[in-house]
Amino acid sequence: MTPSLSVQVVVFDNSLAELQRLVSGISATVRHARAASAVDVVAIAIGDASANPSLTDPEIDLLRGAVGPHVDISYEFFGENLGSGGGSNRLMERSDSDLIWVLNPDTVPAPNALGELVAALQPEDVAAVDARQLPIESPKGFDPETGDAAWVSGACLLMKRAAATAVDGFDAHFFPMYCDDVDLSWRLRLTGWRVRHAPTAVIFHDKRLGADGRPLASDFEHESGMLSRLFLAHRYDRPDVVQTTLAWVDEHGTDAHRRAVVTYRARLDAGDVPKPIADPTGVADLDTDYYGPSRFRY
Amino acid sequence: MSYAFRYTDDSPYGHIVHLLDQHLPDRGLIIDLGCGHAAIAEPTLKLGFSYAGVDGDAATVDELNANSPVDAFVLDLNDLDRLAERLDEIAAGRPIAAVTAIDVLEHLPRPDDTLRTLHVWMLERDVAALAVSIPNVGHVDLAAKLVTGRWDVTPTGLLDETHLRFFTDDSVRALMETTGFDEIARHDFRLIFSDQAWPPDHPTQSPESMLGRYLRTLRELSDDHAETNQFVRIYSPAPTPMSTPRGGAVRSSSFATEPVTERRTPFLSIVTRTMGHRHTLVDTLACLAAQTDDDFEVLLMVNTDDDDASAAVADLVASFDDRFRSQVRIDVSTVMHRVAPLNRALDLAAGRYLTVLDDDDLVFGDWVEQFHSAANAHPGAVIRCRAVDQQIDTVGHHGPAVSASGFKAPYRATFDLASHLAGGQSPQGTMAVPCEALDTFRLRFDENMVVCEDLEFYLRVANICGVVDTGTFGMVYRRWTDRFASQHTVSPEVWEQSIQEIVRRLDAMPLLMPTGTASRLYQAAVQERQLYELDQGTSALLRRADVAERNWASLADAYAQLEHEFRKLADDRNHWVGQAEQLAPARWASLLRRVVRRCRHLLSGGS
Repeated sequence: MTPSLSVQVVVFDNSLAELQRLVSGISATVRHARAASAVDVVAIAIGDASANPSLTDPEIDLLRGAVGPHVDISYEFFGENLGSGGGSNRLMERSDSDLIWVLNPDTVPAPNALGELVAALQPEDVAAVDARQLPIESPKGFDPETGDAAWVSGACLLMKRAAATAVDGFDAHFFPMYCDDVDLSWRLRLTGWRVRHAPTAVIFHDKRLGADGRPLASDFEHESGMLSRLFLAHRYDRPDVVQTTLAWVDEHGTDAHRRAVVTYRARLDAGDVPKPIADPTGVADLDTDYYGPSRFRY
Repeated sequence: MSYAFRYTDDSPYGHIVHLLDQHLPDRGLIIDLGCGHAAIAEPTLKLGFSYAGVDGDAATVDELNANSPVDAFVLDLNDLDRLAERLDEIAAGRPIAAVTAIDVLEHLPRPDDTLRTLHVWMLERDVAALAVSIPNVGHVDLAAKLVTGRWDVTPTGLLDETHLRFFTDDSVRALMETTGFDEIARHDFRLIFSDQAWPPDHPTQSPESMLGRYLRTLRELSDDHAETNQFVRIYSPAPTPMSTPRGGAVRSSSFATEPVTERRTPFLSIVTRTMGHRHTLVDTLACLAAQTDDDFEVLLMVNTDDDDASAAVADLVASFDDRFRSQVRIDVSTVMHRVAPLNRALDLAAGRYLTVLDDDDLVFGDWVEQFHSAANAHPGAVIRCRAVDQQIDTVGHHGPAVSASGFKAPYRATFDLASHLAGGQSPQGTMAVPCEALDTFRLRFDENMVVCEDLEFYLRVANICGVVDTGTFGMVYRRWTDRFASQHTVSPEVWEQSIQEIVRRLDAMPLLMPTGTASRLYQAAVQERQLYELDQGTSALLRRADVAERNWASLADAYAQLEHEFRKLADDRNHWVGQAEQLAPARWASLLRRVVRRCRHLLSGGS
């Protein structure tokens, strides 16, 4: 049976132009996938985690006009910042589609993306797949024969809803964002699922380079990334990694990193952290830069 | 005013007569409008034409009729109501081969009206041709003078004081096409130095001055008429005049061009060549479809004789969303050539700026936006962004192309001509060039170059327009890993030959250097001086080392000699010790006495 699909986008102060590019890309790849009978009913769910609504009704109509009548668009203003994982969970709760496609608002899928992702998700034991991101490709490794990967990226993540809900979806404790995709992937793998990378599926992810020619990361990204690393180490029973990370921040960290440590300690005291998993052996890899094998470094 | 210029074969008159001779097999009547002293009468009569001179100056006409065998008539070319009637009177029923207008049209306030009237009359009377000679105010001498603010009106010549209209090649074409005349042939009259080539030693006039030479080089790039003094052309009357000239700008009349104040749209023409077989094309197009600034078109130059490959490209483009699809134009060529599709794309491009992106390159989301904002801030300049290098490889042997390395930033952050000659510093996708410059100076890629045609092209454009660096990274230049090296490698010899050819071409013309060059030259000069001083110091040290080496060699020889002597002495000593040991102590005294005696003998001069 041809699966139904819910495309989920959690936005946070994103511009209309950015979302127009995204839905135009979605529209094209859905058309392409439908023509190949890869998907059936498609709905786009936009969840807004901003302090104020990012879109007005006429702007939502503009987006609807961009995708045409064959794709339904819904918009939900959360009224609070649920974070990326929490926002995705909220949208997933509203959906009964067979497949969930999580997309970052700063992405634009190529026409082939959805069809290739659906194809890669076909095997029964595969729970989730991700696409090859451009122009800054993820260095994370994958098996060239099977596509198996240590984890799949939440910037463009197609998954079986049944598999995701069976492990309670994303863990919203990874607030505001980052590493919730690593965590979800590892929990899926711990329950016997596989996750795969589909290099033939192409997604543009609007990342830029700094003056040194390396991927640019904002202070927010540094802070959030550090916080999530600490959560991940806490979750997967690696107090040694927590300690070495804290020591590294002490010695080399920026202000953003130090803010992350303050937040981590406060949330640890408040119990507002991911619940530890006792035996993540063979899945959780916190000893590498990319939480698993990598093909190269930036 | 009438002119008494004499006829020679190598003059505008001679060129007119040549055209009449070549293109009018029927030797009928030549009606020479504005005939003056009828310079072409004699040669046309010799060729078998009959001749009628026409002039607005009655005194000139009277003189011709009185003192020459020429039939001359008074006619006012501005009196359009009577023009046809007067021409009929002059022809007097004779078959008319052609009308000539030598140095005439520029003297009329509305030459277009006169030509339209003439056109109608020529069609009705079945006149085969109109031959004209018109001064060219686009001559390089005038252009060079105007650079310094000079516009010297003279009694005769290109800026004759009685001229009312001024023509360039473009405006002559517009005038003739819109008044109903199709060009048959041209035999323009060229002068390297026109009557405006003065004052002597003027810095913009003399081709021996650097500025003069540079201006001449630029002017010659623009069209083929830098040294055309007179446009000498022959036309046939067309059935109907054109409403607008071919390929020309919109004009309000035959002379006046409406000012073009709107910039070309879209902002950017992105040219991508593909043979249609690379999986990477989808990567490149995906990056373009996601640009933050969509004011661009994509010219996808498909160069393949494989129908399937061509169809695959069309299918790929069709799979994108409507908006992006509408921005892409596909041009298929089955004539396999690496560079020709680029030039074809330059002809097709509608954009204000143009850039070339390979079908395996990637660009960042603000690549077009960077170019656009820099071009708005520095209109007319070449815009250059930065690039990183990344290796790619296929997954397995036939899988998709994936990144195989991180990024490297091996290229200079800022444009510099010398560095570019020493090695490619700007992948094509880092350069956006203004199309106005390409059109104005007819700049195209050299299709005869084996490699480096892009470098040669960009350096030529940069020499004219200058380069503004955005300073930000715009693209990823992807290099295939060594597995594919044999498919892409050009031998160092071929590369070097191409670079030498580029240097030779640049050497043949003066180069315009951008602001800031003096500092760089100064730094280079200081470094050169330091190198010289270092070299001098090194030479002195080497000389001293040479002397020391020679001394050392002498010492070593002396030492070897000493060692030899020492060994000999040691051997002798051993010999004597051995001998001594063999002698009884009693014989020591005898031996000693013999030695002493011998020594005394020698000291006393004995032998």
